[in-house]
Amino acid sequence: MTTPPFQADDFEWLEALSRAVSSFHGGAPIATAFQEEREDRRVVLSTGRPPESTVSFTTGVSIRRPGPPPEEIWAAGISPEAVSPLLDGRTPRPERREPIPKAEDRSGPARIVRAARSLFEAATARASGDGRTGTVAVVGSAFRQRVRVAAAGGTPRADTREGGWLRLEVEGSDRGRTSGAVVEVVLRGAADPPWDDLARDAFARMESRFEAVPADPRVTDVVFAPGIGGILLHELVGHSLEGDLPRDGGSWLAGDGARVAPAEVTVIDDPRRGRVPWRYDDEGVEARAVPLLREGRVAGALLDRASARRRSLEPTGHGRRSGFRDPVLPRMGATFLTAGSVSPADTIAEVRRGLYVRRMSGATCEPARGRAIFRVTEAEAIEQGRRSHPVQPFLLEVEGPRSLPTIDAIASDLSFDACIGTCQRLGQPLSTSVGAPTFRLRLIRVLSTQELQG
Amino acid sequence: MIADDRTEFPDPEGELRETTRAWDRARRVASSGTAIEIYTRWSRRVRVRIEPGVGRIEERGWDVGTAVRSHDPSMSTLGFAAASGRAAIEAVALARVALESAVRVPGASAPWSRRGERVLRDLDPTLELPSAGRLFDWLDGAAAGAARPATRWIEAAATVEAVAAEGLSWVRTRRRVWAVALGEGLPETSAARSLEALPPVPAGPGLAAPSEGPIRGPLRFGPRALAVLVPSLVRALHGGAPPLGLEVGPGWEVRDDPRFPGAVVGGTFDDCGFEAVPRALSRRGRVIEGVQGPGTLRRGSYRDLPEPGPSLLVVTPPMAALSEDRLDVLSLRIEPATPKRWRLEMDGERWVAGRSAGGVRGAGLWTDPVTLARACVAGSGEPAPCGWGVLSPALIFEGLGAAE
Repeated sequence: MTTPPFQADDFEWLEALSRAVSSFHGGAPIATAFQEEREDRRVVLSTGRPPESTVSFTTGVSIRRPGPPPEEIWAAGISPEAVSPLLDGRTPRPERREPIPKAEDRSGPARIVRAARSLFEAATARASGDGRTGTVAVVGSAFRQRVRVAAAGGTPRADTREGGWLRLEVEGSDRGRTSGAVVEVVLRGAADPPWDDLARDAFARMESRFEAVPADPRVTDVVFAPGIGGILLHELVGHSLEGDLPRDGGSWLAGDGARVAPAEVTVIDDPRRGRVPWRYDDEGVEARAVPLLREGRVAGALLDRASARRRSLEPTGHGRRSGFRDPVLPRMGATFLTAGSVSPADTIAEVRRGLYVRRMSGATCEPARGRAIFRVTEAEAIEQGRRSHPVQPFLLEVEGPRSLPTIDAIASDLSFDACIGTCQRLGQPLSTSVGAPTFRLRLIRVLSTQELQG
Repeated sequence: MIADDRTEFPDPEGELRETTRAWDRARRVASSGTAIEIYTRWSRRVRVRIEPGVGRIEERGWDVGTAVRSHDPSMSTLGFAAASGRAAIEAVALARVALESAVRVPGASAPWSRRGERVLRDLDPTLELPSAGRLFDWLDGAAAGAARPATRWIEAAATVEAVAAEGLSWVRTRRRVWAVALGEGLPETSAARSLEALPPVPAGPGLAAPSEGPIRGPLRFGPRALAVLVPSLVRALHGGAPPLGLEVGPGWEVRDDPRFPGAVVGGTFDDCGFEAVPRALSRRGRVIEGVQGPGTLRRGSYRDLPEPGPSLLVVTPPMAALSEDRLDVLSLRIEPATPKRWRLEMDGERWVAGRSAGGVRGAGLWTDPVTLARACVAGSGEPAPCGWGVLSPALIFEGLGAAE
């Protein structure tokens, strides 16, 4: 969650960063100074591999000068007093100002360790003793990041981003057939999720999938379970409207106002919601919701300061970086399809033969062509308006220009973070959220392993 | 540009002494019998970018980090904690965190080599980096031969690493230069120890105009495609629990060679101090070894635990004449539906009766790692660097079926 604008230890940093920016290029339009303190924890518990627990603490500063050519200068572990010498071209001398938090501090990211153990114990207790369960693994990850930013001509800002999630993976085999299931949960607030329920859900899904058959490659209709279809909008719409893409041929959604989907389709990116929200971006710009598609038409773009300046627009608060070592890019925060009015059951009832997608584990996209491929790991066949048997993992190819106009049913059950993902862009990972209600798409291409058998 | 770059490169021996002193203090917070390892990494980077429509951008940075591992053999626990900053400042606090957050790993063997008193050294003759101006000149030269404008960058980096632990100390310095061109699809990368040795990155495969028609004959994968294919196949066949003895094609003749002259990754010892030697992974049509265990352990950064990984994958297939009907695969993407079911998405050029029959975009083919390795029959042309860590001639694959 974001925290109040300033904390006691912000002021010394903000003063040093502001001094650095103003001393160089008072009033220059894109000169910013950025500082971060970050704690990351990761834990892996597994019946099939050695456990791991890692902790890291990172501090660093990055200063951007407008040039020409524009320059970015960064350094790890320095104090506020070392910012000016850094700009003079001198090798920085790292020194720690605040002690590393003690490991026994159970608040914040350290909580992930206990949470992972609880989920692992619940899952291993449920594992069958009949040899059907192969491995049980829990991966937990949590972080907390405090950033301070000064921008030429702007108000200094500070922001806290934090989040934690757990993933439970179970795999098993039965008479030569293998199956598996994944359950993910975002840690929110102080209360623990229901560990036993999560473990029960994972095993029930694994058991049901021993009978899975290859997906039918002739199917063209797909219904996405609540939350899951947000990945499709993230890939096809969000990535295609990142403001640094070349406007000439870089994106299939380059034309403002162009109709690309039915009028019921509105897609928004709002960094202030989702599992890792931010109030100010990494350039100190206040984050705001940006309609990407409004009533089926291209309505906006995600802009950092540089891309906004090139387009003669205001930045939207979407300038993010993985850390002080990386350049700022326009990035998505929480991308979602707004709710419709159809009941979830009706999205399936009209499908004679189709697929109901429950989980996708990865995707790649080509913004220039508007084409994306999704890895579907849990899905069921739809036959005569009913969900029937589970299907094996397959790839789903979606071509935005042809497929988005075929969205013809959007339910009212908007849901977020049904699938937890890290978005990779130009080598920079970033925690992002997606959301969507149940919705139906009529024109997809199933790349099924059934083709192998044919 | 920053006119006055006054970078002071640390003296490697001084770094090792400082790390050793930090280790001596940090080990006192551990109970008797618990071993502590301190790893420090200093790095300096200069990166310059050229973006179409934006222009030239220069980045430079300094990174310093320390990692502490603990190993208690009596309790079978391993701990890890890392922080930005120097060992002299961070080591004691990090040792406390590592000890407190250690996890039990039944049967865990010593996570680093206990070689005794001798200090291991692997030092580059110099840590001086090319200036930003020279890097821009290189990019300008590379762009001159490109098929089309694309975002490009080139980065030069120097690192100094030092380790002090019970029974182990080592120091390593390394220079590295790598360049990237972002065309359509996957970025194209090249890497070397020095700017002079860096192969060009010609943004995009320069595809011929797409044409319709069947794809006949074998597939011939070029360097850009092999930069994706070879590491993926090595992970699938030679990582984790490798299927030793598995039959593969005669062309899948691969070794991991950390001592190859000029290799970007590698050296005489790995990041845990274990001796690193060339190891044949596949030979004479059989999988004979995996990339795992002592000699292969590498850290992605000071924040990461050492993990098994290859250094330089050298492919030495028997050579064969080119078929007149074939698909030259210039660019490849692997989409795994499952770890054992891959879809290859290929861009390339179709050849019929020895003549180019036009470009192919997005040709798809379902396969699996074992089938793919068995289909690798031979090589063609001279060995060439492929991305970061592969040296191979073009590879010929037969019998994979028709691409869509």
